[in-house]
Amino acid sequence: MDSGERYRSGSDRPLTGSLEECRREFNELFGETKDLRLEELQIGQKQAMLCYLLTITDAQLLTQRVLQPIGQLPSDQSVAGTDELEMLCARMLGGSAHIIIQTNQDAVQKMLEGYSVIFIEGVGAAVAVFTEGGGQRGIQEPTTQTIVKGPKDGFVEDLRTNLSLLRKRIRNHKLRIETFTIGTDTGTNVCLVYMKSIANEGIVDEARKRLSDIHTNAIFETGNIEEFIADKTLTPFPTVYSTERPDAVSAHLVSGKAAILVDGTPFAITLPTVFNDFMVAPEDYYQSFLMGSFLRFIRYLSFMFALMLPSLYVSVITYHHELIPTPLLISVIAQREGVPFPAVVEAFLMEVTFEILREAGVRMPRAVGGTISIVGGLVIGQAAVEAGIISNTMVIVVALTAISSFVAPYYIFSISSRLLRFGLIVLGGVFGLYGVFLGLMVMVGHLCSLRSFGVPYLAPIAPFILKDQKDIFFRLPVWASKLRPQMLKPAGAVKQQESESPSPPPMYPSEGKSKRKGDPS
Amino acid sequence: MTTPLLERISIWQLFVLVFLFQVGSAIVVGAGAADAKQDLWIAELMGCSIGLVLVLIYVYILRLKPGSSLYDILSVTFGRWLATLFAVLYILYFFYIAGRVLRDFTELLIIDVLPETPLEIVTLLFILTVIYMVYMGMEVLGRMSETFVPYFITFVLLITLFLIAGQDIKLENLLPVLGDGWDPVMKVVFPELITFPYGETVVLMVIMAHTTHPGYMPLTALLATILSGAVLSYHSGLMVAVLGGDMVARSTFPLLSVVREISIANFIERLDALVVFIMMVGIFVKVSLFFYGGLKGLEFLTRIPYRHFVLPCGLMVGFLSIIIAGNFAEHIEEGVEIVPVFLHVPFQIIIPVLMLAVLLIQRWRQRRVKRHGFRRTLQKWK
Repeated sequence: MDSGERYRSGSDRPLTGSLEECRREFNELFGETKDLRLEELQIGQKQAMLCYLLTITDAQLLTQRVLQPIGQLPSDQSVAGTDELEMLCARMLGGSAHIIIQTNQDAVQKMLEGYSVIFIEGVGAAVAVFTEGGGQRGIQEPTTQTIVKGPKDGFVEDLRTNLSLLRKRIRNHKLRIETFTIGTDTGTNVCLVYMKSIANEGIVDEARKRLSDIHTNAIFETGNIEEFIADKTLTPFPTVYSTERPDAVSAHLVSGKAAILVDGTPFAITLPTVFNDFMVAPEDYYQSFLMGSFLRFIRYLSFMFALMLPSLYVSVITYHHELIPTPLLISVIAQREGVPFPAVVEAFLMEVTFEILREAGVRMPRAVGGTISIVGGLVIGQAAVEAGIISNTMVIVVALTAISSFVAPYYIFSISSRLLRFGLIVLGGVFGLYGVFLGLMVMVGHLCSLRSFGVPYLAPIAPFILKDQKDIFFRLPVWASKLRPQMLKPAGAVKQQESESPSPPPMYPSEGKSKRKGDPS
Repeated sequence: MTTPLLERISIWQLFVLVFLFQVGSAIVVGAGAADAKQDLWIAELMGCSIGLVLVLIYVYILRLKPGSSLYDILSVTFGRWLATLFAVLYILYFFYIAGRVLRDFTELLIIDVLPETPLEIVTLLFILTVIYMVYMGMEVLGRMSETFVPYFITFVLLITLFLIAGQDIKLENLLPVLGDGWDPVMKVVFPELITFPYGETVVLMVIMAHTTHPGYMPLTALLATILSGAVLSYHSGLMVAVLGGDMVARSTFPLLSVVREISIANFIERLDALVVFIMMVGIFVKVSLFFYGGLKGLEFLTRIPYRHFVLPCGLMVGFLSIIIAGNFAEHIEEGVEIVPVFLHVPFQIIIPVLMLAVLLIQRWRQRRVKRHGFRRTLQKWK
């Protein structure tokens, strides 16, 4: 891709064929680096030089693909010009990925990508053979999005492996992969993946444009890309979906979305993303639609809890006692009797404590993880209540809030409710329910104003799209949803034309309809 | 000077906006109860059917000039100077009504939910939210109301369900039907119930022209009006059935009094505070739309995008809502005695009817020119 242009180093003059010159230029560029290998070879009667970076080259591949074929060449093989080199390569390296390159710049670029480059004395071209190797993790179960039933493989840090996981799931010629090189310092490979004639062309073009517009020095994770391509960064809500599940990415691809994969991270992002995507777990589709629908409901409910419960509690306890039934009110107030703080301070204390606990739990080495639960659960929870600093009800509220915030199938999404919760607690403490509801209105207004690659963030709820409702708050059986999500304006809208319920025809078919086979009479 | 951004809302959004706009404050305030008493629901039905004619006039005007909003049509019909005058008047009218609707709600809030909080604070908070939303634009407001309307409708239905479950509805309260004859009913129908809320739909002429399917716009507006008429009439009937005609007439916010009656298993009770906030959605839409209508007028006059005016004008509307009346009694007095006659009738009925007349004459002339050819028409005139 042309976006890689500015990261390239080395001269862009055509190769002259002088090995000495090449060697000098490489030594200049790479300096004293230990892993640069410039090895002398003999190809036929010509001197040749094999260049590669030891650290990212697989020795076995190098032997198989380069050294063995060269060794089998007849000793009187002559390589005079570029044409001859091409023919030789076709014969010698046929089957393994190789590229003829013309400039030193390309040679350097290819070496950095894990190719081994062979220069031949007196030939104005070189051949690069793909021999990438180096450490990588095996495919494992994803750790951030676990499921009970369904595929257990997750993306790894290696881009090629990740792409292969997608290709194996979508065996279709329409699956397109485009590569970008981003990062002046890191030169990271970034792939844009989409389904031609399913995904909306406009969205793909926009993604392509935004990717090529990134000017930065380093990309280590999709998160870095995310902030460059998101429509709006000043928002607590994520506007792209990142996942380490290949099945989720594949499902998004065939529904008309595009995906971006970055070399070096097991997280892929898919776009455009709407609010509802974060309430969907891949497992919804792998189990009964009744259960899937029920779980959706639970998730929306717990999102509400995680967002509003402490603020509702604070405002009701502070301003609107009449909303609580009297017996309950008496017991709650009685518990609060000895508590020296107003409810809003109490809620704040507990929420901040919980956030500290959570952060400690995430960052801490696993070996000492158990300590957290003892210190957090026992000391802070029970002891605080017994010491009369916090009321029991508050602990219940905070605990329920905390558990609800873990329900989100997509962990990052809970940051939105975590951040907004504090704002709502303050509003609830100062203005009561009025403040909370106005805060919610502002939040919904903000959500309505968000867009992800042109698609309104709250679609298909606002703007309301009737055809998409079959997979939002509940999930209809797979055979019942015949169209791809309309909010994405897919190029190919129809998912399955003639799909019907597999249930048998009625027991007493009406006149004219054929009876089931094997029916008596 | 930049060309103003044209925002389009979908037909469903328009429906929701019209519905929330009309039901918005009308369902809370309970206008006309003082005179009509147990026949309030009949008055509401009549108000709706006559209001429907007004809405019909508005949409017909818009259909005659497709794609142009209230202000554009003003300038087409009345010429530059008169149109500017009318536009200024409309802007002031819209801002004033926005302030009035806001005051309706803040008074309700202070009486019922936050008795210790000063009016100024409550107003400021509300208007800041309105400012934020209107700044985001019409599309966002449309989507927001779309998101909230299910909650609104659910609560409206739940109220009935709870009242039935608690056996609070006594249908005999509705008797005698028309016990005092038609006079008290007619008295509240015009101008009070026609202008509020149906006539107020005039402000929607600013946005109704810009929908995704202009062909369906008239039908949508009329259907939404019928629905809100039905909801309003149903709820006034419900209020009377629960509280009795006299109580409804005396209560400031009859709906809240009704909701206070709900008590199920000593657990679900005192829902009025919650209902206030659900009703807030309707009020919010209404204030925002009036505010937006005025802002669009400023945009029309100055050719500066309306977003530049949002903050100063918004704060002005908030201030206005505080100073228009010294206390709630004065506010209601103005709303019943002065505003309908001196503001609503000219702006909602007289000017639109004039506009329609001018437009029809213009069209008749054009057709004649087309039919007889330009020269013959000229000869005739000479």
